[in-house]
Amino acid sequence: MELDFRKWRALKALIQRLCFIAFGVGAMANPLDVLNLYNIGVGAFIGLLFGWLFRMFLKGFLGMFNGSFQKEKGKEAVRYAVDSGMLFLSPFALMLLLATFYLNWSMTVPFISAGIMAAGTASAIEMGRLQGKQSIKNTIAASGVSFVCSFVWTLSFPALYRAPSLIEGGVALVLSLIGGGGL
Amino acid sequence: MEHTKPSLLRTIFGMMMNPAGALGGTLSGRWYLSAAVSALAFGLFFAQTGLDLYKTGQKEWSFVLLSAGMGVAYGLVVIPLIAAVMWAILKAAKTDKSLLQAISAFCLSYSGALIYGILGLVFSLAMGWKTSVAFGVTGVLWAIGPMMFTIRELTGGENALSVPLATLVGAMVLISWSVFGSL
Repeated sequence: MELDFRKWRALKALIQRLCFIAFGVGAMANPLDVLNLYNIGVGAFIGLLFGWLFRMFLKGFLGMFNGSFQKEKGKEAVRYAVDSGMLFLSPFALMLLLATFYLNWSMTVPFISAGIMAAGTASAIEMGRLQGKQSIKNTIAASGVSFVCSFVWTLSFPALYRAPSLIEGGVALVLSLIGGGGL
Repeated sequence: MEHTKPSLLRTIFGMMMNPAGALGGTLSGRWYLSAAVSALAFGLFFAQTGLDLYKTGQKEWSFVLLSAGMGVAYGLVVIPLIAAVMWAILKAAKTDKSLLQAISAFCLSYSGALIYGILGLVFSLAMGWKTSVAFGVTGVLWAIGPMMFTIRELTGGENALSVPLATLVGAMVLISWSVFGSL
């Protein structure tokens, strides 16, 4: 039976986006002011941007490592494998929200790293299922992309964490200028 | 034709890198070795929690030993019990795997936590680092990925149950550890 690669596509995309928004919001949350709108907004944006990059690279590398399969089944097949694999982010996103907003933990990197690695592995396994046999090259490609993305997130996070307060300060300055407060 | 069972070490690393491939061999038996993996993984994780509290002067040395013992008991009793509850749920979803196979696969999901636990203990004792979060929690989070693949294998490749059940188990483990740490 031919698999319908478009089945549940919109729902999968929505879950993926919500997971990356949760990653961004959780990572940017300030334990002393967890409901700060600037942290939430910047976190959601950075999470979505990062998620888009991760998905694009994962699709690109899995497609490159499976050129003949992609030619035969189309790009939709690789997209299907990656989108199905990305569903495996959801436990990590939910636990990150639980840790940040219920347990008041400030460490978020392990949740995001483990989630990204699990999603990468799941995408490789999904590719193997579509091809009828598991292949080590898919595992290597997906693990490599996931590792690099996780590493980039871990390294860039300390710099990105300053963004919400800088934006908040900038907005306050502009509002005070508009209100006639001067410099 | 006679099938040779993969070694325990190979299975442990296999569950970290390629859970789907490793599970095929795992489900054939040796539940007691799998239970030893989760017992040791939680023993090391809880011991590091005790060590961290000892280093900050909050607890006595005897608490470190008590923590290790509680961790071993957690991995040996609580994880197989959770596996049994999950198996009962999966039985309703028409799994054809036995209870012992389910316990074996669930316990082996903590292979990554065992490796992180060993590394964490080395860094804790040799370098004096506080490792319960950086290594312990990371290891437990790593277990969620293989657990999702385990549940998926037990339900014949369905994602519908694997994601929520793995989230539930992961959240229960994190909350119970958090309660233990605040005792």
